[in-house]
Amino acid sequence: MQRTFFKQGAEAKLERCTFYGKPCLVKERFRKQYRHAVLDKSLTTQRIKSEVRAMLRCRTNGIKTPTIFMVDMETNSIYMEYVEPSITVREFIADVQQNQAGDCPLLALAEQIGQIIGKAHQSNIIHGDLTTSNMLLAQKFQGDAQSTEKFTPADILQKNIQDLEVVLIDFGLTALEGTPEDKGVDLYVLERALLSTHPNTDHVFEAILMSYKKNNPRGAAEVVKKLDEVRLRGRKRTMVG
Amino acid sequence: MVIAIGFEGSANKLGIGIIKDGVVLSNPRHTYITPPGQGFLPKDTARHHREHALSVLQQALDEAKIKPQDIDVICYTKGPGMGAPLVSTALVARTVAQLWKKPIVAVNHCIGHIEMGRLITGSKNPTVLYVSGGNTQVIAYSERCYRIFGETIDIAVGNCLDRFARVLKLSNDPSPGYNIEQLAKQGQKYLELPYVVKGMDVSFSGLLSFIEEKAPELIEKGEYTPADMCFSLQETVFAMLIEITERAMAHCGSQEVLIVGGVGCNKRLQEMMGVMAEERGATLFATDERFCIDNGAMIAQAGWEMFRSGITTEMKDTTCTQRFRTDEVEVTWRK
Amino acid sequence: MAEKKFHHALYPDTTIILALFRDVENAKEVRQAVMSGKFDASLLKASMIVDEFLVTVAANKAVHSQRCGKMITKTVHSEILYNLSAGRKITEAFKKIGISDTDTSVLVAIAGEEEKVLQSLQALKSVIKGRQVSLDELSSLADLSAVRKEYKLTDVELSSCSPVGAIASRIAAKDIITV
Repeated sequence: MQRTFFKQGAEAKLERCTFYGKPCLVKERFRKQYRHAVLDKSLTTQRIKSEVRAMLRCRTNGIKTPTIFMVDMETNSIYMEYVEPSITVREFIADVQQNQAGDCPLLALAEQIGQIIGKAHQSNIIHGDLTTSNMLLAQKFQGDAQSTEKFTPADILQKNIQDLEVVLIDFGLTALEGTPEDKGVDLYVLERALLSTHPNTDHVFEAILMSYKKNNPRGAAEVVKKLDEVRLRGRKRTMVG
Repeated sequence: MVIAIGFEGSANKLGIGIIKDGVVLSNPRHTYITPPGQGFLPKDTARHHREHALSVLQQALDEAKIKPQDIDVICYTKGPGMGAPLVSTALVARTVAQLWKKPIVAVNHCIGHIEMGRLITGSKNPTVLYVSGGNTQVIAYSERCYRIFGETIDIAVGNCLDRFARVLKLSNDPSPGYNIEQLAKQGQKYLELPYVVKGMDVSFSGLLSFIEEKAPELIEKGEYTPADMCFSLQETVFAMLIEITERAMAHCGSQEVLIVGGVGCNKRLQEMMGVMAEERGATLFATDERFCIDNGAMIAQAGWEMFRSGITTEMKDTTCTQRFRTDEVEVTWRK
Repeated sequence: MAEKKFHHALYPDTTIILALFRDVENAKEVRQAVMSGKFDASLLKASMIVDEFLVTVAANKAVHSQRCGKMITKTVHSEILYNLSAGRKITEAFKKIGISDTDTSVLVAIAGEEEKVLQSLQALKSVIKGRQVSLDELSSLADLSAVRKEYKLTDVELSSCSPVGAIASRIAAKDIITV
């Protein structure tokens, strides 16, 4: 199988290939040489399972994530759908701001983002690494009315946000249970990532929160309270001695 | 030319050190060691510090071959740490400052470690892993602040190791951590222990409870030796620390890593960190027990930096505090 | 030649063939031929397969498991069948996904060394009484409500993605997630 390098992080390497004709992304976790072999295998296996479970759980709750094609525990690899055409939310926001296209696209985007995180938290999925690089914008699923028109990533920038949908990716740091504080931290990470990468987007985050509250009706109040506490402290966890 | 004297006593080590423009002139230290199986209590520790303060101070001056009038600034540990020991050490600093009519500077203990680490190793802008009996933090400098990227959400790694040493009734001389390290070298059988990393943070209390409960029975049954347990404990907690350090480095794009704090003496930790650093093409910086372990010179060094950038502490503000976060300090001496 | 032949993604020396037959009159006979070892194949209920890609995912996994010595069932062909089922009971898999004696639409999957696979296909074609059609007809044969029930697909899920993605993910992750 021909694989081409895509990206590399501290935990894993990403490569592109085709899986029986379908565009595919292979996420292969490294063996960490500093770790004891037994610990390394155990940890890596656990994390792959967590990642896969989170993606499945998102799916069953209507949150878009890449389709999983194969899980290979021998090589610590996950083969998944390479979502295309798509661009990262980061690229989208940068483009909107550069072209001074106004707030509408960003607020509509915020609505969607708040929706998926709200749903995720409601189902006890804590992403763990919410940044604008870990969210993709892709052609919206239209069921049977799916058009066969295939467009390029550049086309996406021209599209109306109503025709696009947010796809959540990279569940490498995910947790499948957590306290309101963990969820508050999840949102805080997003806020910091958003504000540090894209200037003047405070109102966008506020819009995300509004949408989040609507989509996590029971839990949102407590989570937002924790978020406020975390913001005030300017750091992520309750201080300990 | 600025000569600074530093007074450190936030835990069971009483250290008084003298630095002249980045050169350590003297750095004597006296450690309060309790019998095996026992930890150290604030009251007794404070008493130990009071008993030894003057002799250590004299030693510092003698070894540095300087007189009180040569000193430019008195530096002391404001916190964080144990209340009574901090206060009894601060008292000595305050007294000599008034006696010798010198300015005084209140120093954050963690920053003392960082500044000493930077001085001794020459590292420019490293990601810092600060690990001791009382602290576990991953720190990186950014815009006049030592930002805490990751930390323990419950107990410090040194505390975890020390408490396990008590379970095994290892000697506290020279330190429980040192004895765990030596015993671990003989360990071979690996026991899987709870590994808890949440994003950039770590948690050791679950692991400690687990091992405190399981170790005695496993050792008695003959399934694992104490050496195996020490080995397994180190491999696990150190791997956790390295993981969060690596994440911080990846986030900051850092090519340098510095380990400071008492647990930083541990050769196995240094070895493992070295492997990670090499894989990333980064450089590892570490110091030896003179500077890893709490000492007076590190307080002098941090205080020297602060003093040179124009900071002094008014006598009425020379208090101590048990909780004093690294990121609360404005790092005026760096850009 | 309406069947599809391709190589395994990780093990190029393994060939996989998919073929679809309609108006099959002797499902029972074909099944017995496989059981008695006349040829090896997975005989799948076409109505339970919404897209050929799902069989590909199942076969891909089955061959990989075989190579790693980690199959749950005895043969790669029963493994393909098992992988396509939502549950963990092998007998249930055969009942839900394997053909019954009265099924008239049969999707065949054969995996193995190329020559043997081609031979098996020939042998099957000589036994089966039905007409071979293009795999494109598969989607028209799908019993969507039975499929939804088998994989527990909800409205929430189907409103945001196609059943193919949903089912493929479940097949790939079956041993990891709890049913």
